[in-house]
Amino acid sequence: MTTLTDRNLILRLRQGDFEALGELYDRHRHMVYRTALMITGDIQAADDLLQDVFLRLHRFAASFDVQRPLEPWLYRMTTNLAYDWVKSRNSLLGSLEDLADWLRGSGKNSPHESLEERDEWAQVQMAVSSLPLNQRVVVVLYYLNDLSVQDIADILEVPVGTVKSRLHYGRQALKKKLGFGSQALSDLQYERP
Amino acid sequence: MKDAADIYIRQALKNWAASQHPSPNLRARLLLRAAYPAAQQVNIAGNKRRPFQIQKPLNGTADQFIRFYSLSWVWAIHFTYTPLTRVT
Repeated sequence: MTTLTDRNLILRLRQGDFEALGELYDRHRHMVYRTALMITGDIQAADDLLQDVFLRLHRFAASFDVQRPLEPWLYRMTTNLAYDWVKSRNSLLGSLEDLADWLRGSGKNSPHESLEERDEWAQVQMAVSSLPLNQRVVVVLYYLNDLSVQDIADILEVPVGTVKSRLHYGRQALKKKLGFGSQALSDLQYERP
Repeated sequence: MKDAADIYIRQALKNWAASQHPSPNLRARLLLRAAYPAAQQVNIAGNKRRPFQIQKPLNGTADQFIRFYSLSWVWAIHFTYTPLTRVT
């Protein structure tokens, strides 16, 4: 099973092979989960989104174009569901107190961090989480998932210029929050890492 | 060309993400939900039910009569127009 490509697994899934779904889940779960977690900032939501993404893959396997790679589809589905989750959460709660609690990491659904990791890495994670949703999604896809600007534009179905703009402002905000100078901003070139 | 902040942000996010893992039982739940979508609906319905909703609904003939007779205008008419007769 491990030698099968995603394409073959999807074809098996179409025939009702649930183990193929499990194999696809094993391959891509970390990418989907971490993307969802970084965008939503909520462990429970990331778990739910992870399940929803693969349930949709199961549901739409029959209509999935197997000639195209699976990962962009997974990214698109993950970001769309995360968008919806964040928007519904904001509309339901929308309180600054909740955001502050979450940023402090005191909630039971805050991501796992050990004390020593909290200082070094979680600062960046929290800074990313405080970005506006549009910028946050682009920053996560660019930095965490190593996607190119063109790939991100395709996934989000927005122009490349929009992605560059969101990435630019996201980087500016991140640097400011993290205490970096802004002199290097002009050196930015949007290239695939 | 990438500056130090760019590299730092990328590395920090990756380091942080590397320590985040989905719940271990999600795989089994996913396969269960995929295989038995109806079971999920039952589960959702079960989660949303409250104890008072589980009580047997009062829909029998006698229940409907009692509900009807509880209407104030029904017993008002009844006591207004029922002729008084001696009971002794």
